[in-house]
Amino acid sequence: MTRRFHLALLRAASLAVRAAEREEWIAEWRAELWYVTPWRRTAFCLGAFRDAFCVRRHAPAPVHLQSPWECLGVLAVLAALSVFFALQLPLPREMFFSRTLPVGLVSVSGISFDNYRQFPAARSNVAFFGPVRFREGNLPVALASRTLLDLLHLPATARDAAAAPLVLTLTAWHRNFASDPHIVGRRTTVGGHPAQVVAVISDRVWRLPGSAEAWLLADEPDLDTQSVGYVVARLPSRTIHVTIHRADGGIAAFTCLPLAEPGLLFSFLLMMAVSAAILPAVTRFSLGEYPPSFRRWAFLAAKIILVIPIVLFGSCDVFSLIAPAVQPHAMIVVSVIGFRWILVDQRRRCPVCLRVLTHPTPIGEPSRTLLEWYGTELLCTRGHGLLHVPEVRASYTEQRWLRLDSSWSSLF
Amino acid sequence: MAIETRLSHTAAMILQAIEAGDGYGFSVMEMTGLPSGTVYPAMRRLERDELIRSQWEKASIAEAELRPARKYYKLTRAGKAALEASQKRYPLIAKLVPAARTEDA
Repeated sequence: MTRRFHLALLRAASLAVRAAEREEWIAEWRAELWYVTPWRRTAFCLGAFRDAFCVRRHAPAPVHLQSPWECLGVLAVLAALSVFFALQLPLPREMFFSRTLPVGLVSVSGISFDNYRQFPAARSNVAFFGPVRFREGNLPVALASRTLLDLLHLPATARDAAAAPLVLTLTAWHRNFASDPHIVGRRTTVGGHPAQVVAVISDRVWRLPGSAEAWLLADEPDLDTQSVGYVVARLPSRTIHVTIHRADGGIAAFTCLPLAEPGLLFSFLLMMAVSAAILPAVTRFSLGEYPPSFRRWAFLAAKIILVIPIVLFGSCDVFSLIAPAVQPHAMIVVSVIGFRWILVDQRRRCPVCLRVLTHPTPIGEPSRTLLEWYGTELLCTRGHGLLHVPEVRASYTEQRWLRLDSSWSSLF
Repeated sequence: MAIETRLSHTAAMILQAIEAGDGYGFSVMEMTGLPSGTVYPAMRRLERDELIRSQWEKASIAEAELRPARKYYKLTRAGKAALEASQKRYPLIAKLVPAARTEDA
């Protein structure tokens, strides 16, 4: 491991330290690193992360978040920015705000090209494609009917392609074409035939069945009439049942299910469900023992309402730019962090004025944990009271709020 | 008496190492055998509790010795009292830390 790698580790750890303390913190670790033998340097630098988090934990809370109104103001600005960028960026806009018409997907088994011809919809609203026909390197390509162009609402210029039109998934565009910004119109060959890329479609919004990642569009006479494949149709209802008369005299019944995911609602429900399952593992749901206060509950509700758009849209905005493939997972991670912050922040606020409690002071004796109270005491700077947070948490050692009456006011 | 009981064994070892050794972070690590992720956070806590204080050495001294400047830690009066109390509570500490240094040397 090179010195540059270890300095990068220290630099990464220093991000956890407040900007005002960062230079001195990293200067000390860099100076100490000089003495460490090369084979111990990585372990030494990993210890810096623990130190950085300790420094961070004991740093005072940012001033602009201490006041409840300023906290809500910052959250409101972040929520507004998240929604604004979600409306501007292509992937979040497509995911949350696109008005995808109901599209039916027929079950894959037993659909031949002949069955496809019987489908009860206008020809422009039905498309057929077969299983993977070609493999260009690691790109699986299927043959599809030209009506797929109508289904995708591609511009008219796509129909004027000089060679067979080729539709790519976003993954194939990233992997096989190095995210070429001028991909539309680019000439390539598929199975020895000339082709021209006419569109890149999102994996999320248009998740076609099968393992194909590209579709080469061909005229219907060129498609194998006996091949079994898939039918995609834009249909008037979300779920319909289709009955088809087979060539052998039999009858096949199919159920058409919606293809496009209900973007916003689905993402929201998924985020809430997974976060609710993970949250107990990273923090407690309890908000401490406090006297009932409508203001406190209203503040909690306001924070939840503002944090939801931040994690929902904000995470999608950021990760659609830096790593679209991990965006769904990132949204869950960000939502867990966001909801954990809501609970931790709520527990660290004065129940009267809702300002962040300050001046943490260790109280008690660690060596006498079982016999005496041991933990941290926080103070409301307005003199409303003290919060006792036990170091060892158990059902009988919940954090306690000690209200200070007016006789203490002379101290504040 | 309150200070005596507040100090953990690790904190007492670090105080002893600062008192007996050169007083910068890596020397404390070497004398106590504790990892960096334990020593530096503990020293920051001791400094916060005003048992030790830190000071960067002059750059000219470090340059003369062709090494980076060190951040030295020293025991405060309260730190010395805490160490004396800890030595009574953990009698082996006074022997343990200098012994480790001799072994390294």
